[in-house]
Amino acid sequence: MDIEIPYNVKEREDTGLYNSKLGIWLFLASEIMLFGALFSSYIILRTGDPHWMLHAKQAHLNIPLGTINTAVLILSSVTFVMSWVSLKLKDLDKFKMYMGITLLCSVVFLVIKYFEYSAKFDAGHYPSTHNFYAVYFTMTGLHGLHIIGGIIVNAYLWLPGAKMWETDPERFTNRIEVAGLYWHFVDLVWIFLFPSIYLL
Amino acid sequence: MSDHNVQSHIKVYWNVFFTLIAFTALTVGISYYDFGSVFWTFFIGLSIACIKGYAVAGYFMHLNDERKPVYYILALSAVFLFVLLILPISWRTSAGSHSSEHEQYIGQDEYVIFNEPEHHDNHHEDGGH
Amino acid sequence: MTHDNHQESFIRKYIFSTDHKWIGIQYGVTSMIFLLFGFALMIIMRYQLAYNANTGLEKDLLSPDMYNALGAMHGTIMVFLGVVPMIVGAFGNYLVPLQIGAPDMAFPRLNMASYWAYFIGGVVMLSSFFIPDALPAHSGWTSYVPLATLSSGPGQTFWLVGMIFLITSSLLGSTNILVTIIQLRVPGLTWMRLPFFIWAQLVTSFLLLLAFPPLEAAGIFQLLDRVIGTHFFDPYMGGSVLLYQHLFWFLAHPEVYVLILPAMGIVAEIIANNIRKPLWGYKLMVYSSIWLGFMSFIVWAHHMFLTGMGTTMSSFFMITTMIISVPSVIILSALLMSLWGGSIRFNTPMLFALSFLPMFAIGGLTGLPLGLATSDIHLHDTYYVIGHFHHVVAPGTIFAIFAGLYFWFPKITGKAMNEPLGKIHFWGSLICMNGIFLPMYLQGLAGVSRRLANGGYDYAHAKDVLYLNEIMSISAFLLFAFQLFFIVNFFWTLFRGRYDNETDTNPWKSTTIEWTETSSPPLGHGNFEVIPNVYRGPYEYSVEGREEDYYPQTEE
Repeated sequence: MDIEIPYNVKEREDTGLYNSKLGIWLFLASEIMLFGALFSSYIILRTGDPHWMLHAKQAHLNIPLGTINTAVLILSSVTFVMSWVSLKLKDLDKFKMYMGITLLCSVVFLVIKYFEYSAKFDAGHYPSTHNFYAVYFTMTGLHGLHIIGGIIVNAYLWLPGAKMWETDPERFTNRIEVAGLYWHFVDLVWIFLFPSIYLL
Repeated sequence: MSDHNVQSHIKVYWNVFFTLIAFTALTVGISYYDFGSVFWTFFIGLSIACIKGYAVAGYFMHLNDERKPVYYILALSAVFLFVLLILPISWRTSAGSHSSEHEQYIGQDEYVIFNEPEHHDNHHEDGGH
Repeated sequence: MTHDNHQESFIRKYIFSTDHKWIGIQYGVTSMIFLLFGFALMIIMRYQLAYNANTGLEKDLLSPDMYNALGAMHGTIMVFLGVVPMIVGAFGNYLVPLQIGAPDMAFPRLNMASYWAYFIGGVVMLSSFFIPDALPAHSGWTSYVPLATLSSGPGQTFWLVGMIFLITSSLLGSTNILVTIIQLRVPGLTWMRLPFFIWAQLVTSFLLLLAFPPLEAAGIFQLLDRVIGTHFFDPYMGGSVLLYQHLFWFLAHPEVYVLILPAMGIVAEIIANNIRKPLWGYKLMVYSSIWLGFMSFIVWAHHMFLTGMGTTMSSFFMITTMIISVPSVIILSALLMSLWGGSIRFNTPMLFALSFLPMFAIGGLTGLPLGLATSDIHLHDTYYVIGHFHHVVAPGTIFAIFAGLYFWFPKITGKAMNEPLGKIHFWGSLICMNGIFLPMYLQGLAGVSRRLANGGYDYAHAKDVLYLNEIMSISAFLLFAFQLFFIVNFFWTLFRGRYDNETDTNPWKSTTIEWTETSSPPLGHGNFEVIPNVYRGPYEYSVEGREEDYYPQTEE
């Protein structure tokens, strides 16, 4: 039933891109606007509330855990690139290894997040307590949802989706490249989110 | 990208990784240092984040070698992102901008005044609850 | 192109189809039902406005809350479930691949996903009418806080959830259209040879892609405020009421250009075809639509002039608003000037397309005193605003929709709609539309506020213009009646219609690819027997030395 869509794998000459790469960058452009709106709202809420720093200091956000999470996500980014490199070098086993590490790092990130969130709830700090927490939970929460989305896609590409390597290796490699762009973006958001909320 | 190209990039990717880790440590480290002004604290913190961001985007996301259409799309988004981020700055610094909103804010037990006295007088009748 | 002749199951072929033509039809049918439903809500409201306890009835038909619920849902349904899915989801999906020579959209499965996300969003919105002992959302289509956050019952929550699905659908759809247009144009179809319709869809999709996310953020914040008690928009707890308005209008202003650009695209195609000469100022129109799209992101706070923004911010937005009127006037003028020297054919699609010009002109011109902060002080939130935006969307965009439906019906179905019925539909609708919306300017200038459940009877300043309520309502009832001519025509042609020259797949003698290179309807699998090449621009009509008065893009 599949109609052959041109430039699905081969790049179009004048744009130099294949379809899904253009598609993912467009999607990322909209994600830039989403997180941009969230950051903008954060600035507005923070500068409009003289009590903000009081609650921020009281919150005792776990900087060591946040730092570990930052490192974990950066590690997952480089292992994702390496999984793509492995496919370019025609090494499926290395791909599986690196993608496996990426997935492991992603899960570790979520587990650490779980510990952070429960500690807050145990201390009686909920999103409704004060806007500092509302912003903290909402922004890290939405970011976390994006991580989960990435895990689902990456897990699919790691196991059942990897079958495409046998029939259409170039198209599969492109899929990994495109999924990688999404994953790096999620890492990029955290790179800004972590200092903005935990440190500054 | 040819195989040879990809091979030579492996080292680059790992170098970027270590750089990112180093800059992360740096960010956390200097967050404990008092720069005196809010402006410099934010400027330095966000600048380091931008450097890290550029490393991820330029190398991991291959933006350094990307094609023009992608650059155009990102440039367009950057412009509108700028508009989104300018909004809070112009709101909070523009004279009289939405000032009545500030007046409505009342903490749990206190009435915080952070407008000039003359504005305060104008709105006082409906400000207090 | 060879295909296997395996039979597709009914579900794969008609429910979960990945064929852009069928998805376009799904969008078209669904949105037509929503348009009718949204219109029906307004009919009920207009009844109340003309005939209520003040005009001699025993009691009001609707309570104020019920009136507000109908009003909020009317706006939401018309904009998000009716017009945009029709002009982007239906017309865009159906025509874009055909006009650029592509076998389908770039991502057929994503296309299917975007339709079903829209469908689910629509179901969620509709189901809010059936919540026991509660109303649907009743805080305006704008859902301003704090009213929306505090509104009783789960209706508003349904609205927010519905919007999340609709925004998702929009995101997937716009990405698809953009990649399709950029990547799948056939050889020879350079940027400046694209039909203006395609340019309009391109700019529109960029607007949808980049402007919706801030509303998504606002929706999430409001949802959390309502459901888990956060205080994003609660000024007593450090939040900001106006943050919502800024985020909302950051989308909602580009949204109105989403409403108008594809309509201009449709009108341009039909006018070009029916004047039998090239459009005047094609390049000017293209650059103007790009300029328009860009500027639409920096005018939003002209909806917020009365929020105490301060003169610096007001001035900025007023200036950008004045500037943005220039490209829209350029596009309209180019279309108008194209008529000069044309050999005009007055068929039904052309009548609707021609009337778009003065109707959009009225709507656009009445926008000017709203865009000027000083005059807006008097006119903001009055019936003047309702008149303004309805003129652009109702006898504006919706007329463009009708024009497009009559025009492309023969391509989609292989049959032609009845002309006399079409003309009656046109004249009746044109007169009634103006009967509804022209009086609104008078009421607005007198100071009658919008969203008043009984039409202003409680206000002394409204006294002299109240008589207009009945005139407007009767015009609305008549408008509804005239749509029957369309509905009957539509179904009659579909099921009993004469085959208008079965072998003639280009009855309008058009130059563009969808007419010249495809059957009517186009082939199910990949649209084209042979991939066409393009040799010239889209509007080569009345070319010297040719026997025919049109020179198809794909003819060598």
